[in-house]
Amino acid sequence: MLKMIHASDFHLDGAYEVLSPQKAAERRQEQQALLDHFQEVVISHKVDVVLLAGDLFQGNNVYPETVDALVECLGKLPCWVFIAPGESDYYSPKSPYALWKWPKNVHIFKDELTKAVTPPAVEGQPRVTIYGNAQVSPKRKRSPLDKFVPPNNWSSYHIMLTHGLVEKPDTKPDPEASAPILQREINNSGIHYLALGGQHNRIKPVRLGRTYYTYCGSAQGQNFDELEAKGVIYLEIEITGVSSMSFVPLNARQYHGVKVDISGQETLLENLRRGLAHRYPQRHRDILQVILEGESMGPNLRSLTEGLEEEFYGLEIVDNSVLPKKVWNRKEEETLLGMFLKEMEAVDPEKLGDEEVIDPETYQLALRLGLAALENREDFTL
Amino acid sequence: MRIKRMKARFGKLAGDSLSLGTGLNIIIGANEGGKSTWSGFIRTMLYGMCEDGKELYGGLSDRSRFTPWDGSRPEGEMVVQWGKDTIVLKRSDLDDEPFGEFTAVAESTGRYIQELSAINCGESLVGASMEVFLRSAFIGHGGNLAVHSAPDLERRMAALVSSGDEDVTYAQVEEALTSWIRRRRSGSNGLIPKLQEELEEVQANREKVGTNRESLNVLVKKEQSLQEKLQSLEEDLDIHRRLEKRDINERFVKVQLELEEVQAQYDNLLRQREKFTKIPGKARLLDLEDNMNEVLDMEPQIRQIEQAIRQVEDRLDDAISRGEDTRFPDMTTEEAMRQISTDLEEVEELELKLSKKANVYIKAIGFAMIGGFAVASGGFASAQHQSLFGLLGGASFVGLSAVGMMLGLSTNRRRQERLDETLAFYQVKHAGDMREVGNRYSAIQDEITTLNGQVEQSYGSLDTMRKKQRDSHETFLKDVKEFAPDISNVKAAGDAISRALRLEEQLKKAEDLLETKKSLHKELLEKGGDEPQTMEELVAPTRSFSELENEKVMTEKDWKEAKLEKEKLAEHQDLLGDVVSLEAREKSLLAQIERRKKELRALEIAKNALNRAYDQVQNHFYPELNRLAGDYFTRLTGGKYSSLSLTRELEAFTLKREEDPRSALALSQGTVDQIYLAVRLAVADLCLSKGELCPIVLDDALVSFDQVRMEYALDLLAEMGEHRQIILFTCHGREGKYMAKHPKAKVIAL
Repeated sequence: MLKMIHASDFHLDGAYEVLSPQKAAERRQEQQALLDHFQEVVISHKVDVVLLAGDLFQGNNVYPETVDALVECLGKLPCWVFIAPGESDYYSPKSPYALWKWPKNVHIFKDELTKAVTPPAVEGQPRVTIYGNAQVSPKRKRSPLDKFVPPNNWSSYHIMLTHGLVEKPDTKPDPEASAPILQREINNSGIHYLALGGQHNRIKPVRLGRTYYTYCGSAQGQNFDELEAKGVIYLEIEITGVSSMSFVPLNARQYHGVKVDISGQETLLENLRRGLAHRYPQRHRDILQVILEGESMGPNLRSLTEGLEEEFYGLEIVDNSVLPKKVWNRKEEETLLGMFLKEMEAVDPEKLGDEEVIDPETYQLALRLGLAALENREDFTL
Repeated sequence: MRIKRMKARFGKLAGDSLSLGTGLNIIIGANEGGKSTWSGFIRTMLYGMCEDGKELYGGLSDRSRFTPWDGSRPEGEMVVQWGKDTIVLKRSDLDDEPFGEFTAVAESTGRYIQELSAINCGESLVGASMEVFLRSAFIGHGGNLAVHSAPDLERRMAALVSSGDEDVTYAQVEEALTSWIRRRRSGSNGLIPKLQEELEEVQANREKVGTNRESLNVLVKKEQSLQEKLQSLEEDLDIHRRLEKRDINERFVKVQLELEEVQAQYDNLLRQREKFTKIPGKARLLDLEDNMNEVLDMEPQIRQIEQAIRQVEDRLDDAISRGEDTRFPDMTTEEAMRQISTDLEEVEELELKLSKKANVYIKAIGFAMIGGFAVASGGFASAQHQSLFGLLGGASFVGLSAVGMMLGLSTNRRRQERLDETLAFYQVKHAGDMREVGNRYSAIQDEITTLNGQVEQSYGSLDTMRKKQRDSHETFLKDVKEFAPDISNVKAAGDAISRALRLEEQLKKAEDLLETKKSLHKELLEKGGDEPQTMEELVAPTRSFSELENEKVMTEKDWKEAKLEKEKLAEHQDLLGDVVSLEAREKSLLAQIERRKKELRALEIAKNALNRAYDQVQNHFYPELNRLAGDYFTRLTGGKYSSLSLTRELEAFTLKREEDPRSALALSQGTVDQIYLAVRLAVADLCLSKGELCPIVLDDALVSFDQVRMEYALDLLAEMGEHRQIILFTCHGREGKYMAKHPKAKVIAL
């Protein structure tokens, strides 16, 4: 049985959304903790091979100490490590993969064409062949599985790692997509497992022919598109195929998203503080996006943010609430406010069916700002 | 809709009741008499309690303000005439919702009026939302019509005709929106330009950081490479050092062994020295050695003397042997010499004789014979050739000569015999040799004498030498025995001296060697000399230590330069900022700019809508408002002012008959209050004129009016009361007095 860890998209030295520059810099310092935990996971699972499917760095101009940390981490792993550089960390003479001296147990694929590497056989174990390739520019037109010759020997393990995007079978191929992989290519690959990188949200394992493939997702969240727990995939492979696969979380900060109906809430800040504290006990560690919904004259996002940001490591409040319906009752007033509402109603994108003229968010904002001015309130957006 | 009666447990009202007439109601009450509470009661019975009392009571909610003073829950009943129906409205708390419990029942039938609810009651009965009602026909708490300054009047009037909100005017709204727009985009101080400026700076810095990072990474690698080279050089140097150390260790071990060996030798020598009693100094030993050599040298001298004696004795024997001459038996030398001298004289005489005459005769005879022979030979030849005479003369002469010669020869023969005999005795051939024989004999005798003397002298010397030898021998042995008592002879003594000398030398040498070894041992120990733990495999680097040292110095220089350059770049990098921070800031700025632009767009949309709305208001509202307000103002001033007009800027102008328009700013306090009342009544007419007319509630509205204009106002209100219910709360009694007998007015005292 072959035991492996599949990881990708560490995006070390990457930017973090929402966070202040100070917090962003702080998170970069926390990368060491992430690597330490990754190391613990690999060692505790006693794996034979670690597959790193690209985008370990956010670009090639990473901090030297970041590369040093990864080099040191991988060098301590008691197993073989294979790296397929991806889109963000594509292989070039100036990339850390070329500039740094990597440990002997680390093999970095440097060519766009798929190459096979066979580590020394372990006694009593079938041989393992690792296929891999590298992106050598930010964009790759051809499929990473292009010209791949399927193995004809199933008495040994055949594993591939690469960075690319598996295209859906029923959709039209995207000409702008980088490293597009066709499902039939996977189906015809004849390998046991295809470790993929490039998608930040992991997917359930998919079997095509004899081959299983999956995206393990990014090792740490970096924006609110990545709300799930982050980590690596641990898998066990028999010579007959993948026998076990499980997700192992890493102790990275997690992004959360929550929608809150603020209709009729007088003490919104306190309500939010109470409710969010109850819902997110790890709030001081995690990063939260609060989406305000329901009816509101226009919440003061700044005061809400200032009131809540101490509670969370990172916080973003998005206002998707709409003007209370009862306000529209005033449009019948023979007053400036009533006339204003009438005029605004006349340009409502939803009623006009043309959201390109005024997008709904801007429209709601215009309504609220206009009403704030008419009601002699402060500019709540400041 | 008209209010018929009310009963309230509400604020200070503890179940108080109030019945109203259909027209003008003048309710007189002192300050804190409950006028404003009744006003609030009417509003809350119609529209429910406001949670936000900002507009009404400076932020105090209805619940807080109107909780009964006795602590009970508020409740109230209001009977209204709505169309043909008399409806009893009741409100009380529903759980935590104040005045949430609501019922509307037809007074006559007790039937619940389903179309009325807690929420829509006010709007259904009044025909307008609470906001409209409040801003047109209802002046609640703080709704004092009196104004105290022209700008305030202007603001209030403008609010009334433009927004319905007493707190704001179109101009203010437009100004606010313009200000908010300006705040975002104005010049370099606008939020968007500032954000964009910062964004450009952040982006520029990020790009610089990127470029710097590239250079920095190259420098980092260069530094690492040089560090690795330094490490490699240091490793080679270390191998040299370890080799040197190993050499030191080996030498140390060797020296240590040698030291132990030398120490052992030294100890052995010390032990050997202990066997001697007390070894004298080297000088003394050397003296003893000289003494020994002297003793030893005496023996060959003695032997030499003895040999010399033997030689002299041999020579003496030889001389004696040679001196035993039979020719001189028992003669002394002098006797022998005398005999020789005698014999010699004889011989010499004989010889003399033999040599002088005989020889002359013989010679003459010889010549004669030769002559004769020559003549004979000549004759023979002449015979043959010349003459025989010559032959015969010659032969004669030869004969004669021969006879003479024979005589001479006979004498000589005797003499000769004597001579020969003597010479033979002396065993010489010539007489001269006889002296030699004597001399020789004499010499031998002298030699014997001399040799005898020599023998005697030699034996003397021999004796002396032997005595000296014995003395020296004894002294020597005695001296040596002082430190080597076991010795018994010179050889042993010599051996002892030699041993002693050798021992001292060996000890000295051993001591010197020991010191040398100790010094070397110490030196090696100080250099770290130690017993080697393991014998590691060391391959000497191809380059020498000094070559490596030189290269290390150069490499260190390069490394320091690269490090310095890297540090400078890193420092510059730090000044530019952390790239992650910059990227985060960039994203944040982009989001902020997008948000601000969206806000800007929204503000522009709002402002456009506002302007269009304002045009609408002006087009539809102003002419009628001016007309109505002017009519009311004329009535309120007893016809002193013919009209009232509001400019587009909401400035109020009055017009006296046959006079030019006058700005409200120039009017008296009472007059501007009358303008305000006129406008409010006009607005109420315009805004609340559809369907069944709702009551107009005024709270202390005429307080600043003089008596005459108060009467004008009450007359107007009484007239209006014919169409709609007017409820005027006042703290003065003059209104009641004036209207006490008015048939269409009801005066109520609280």
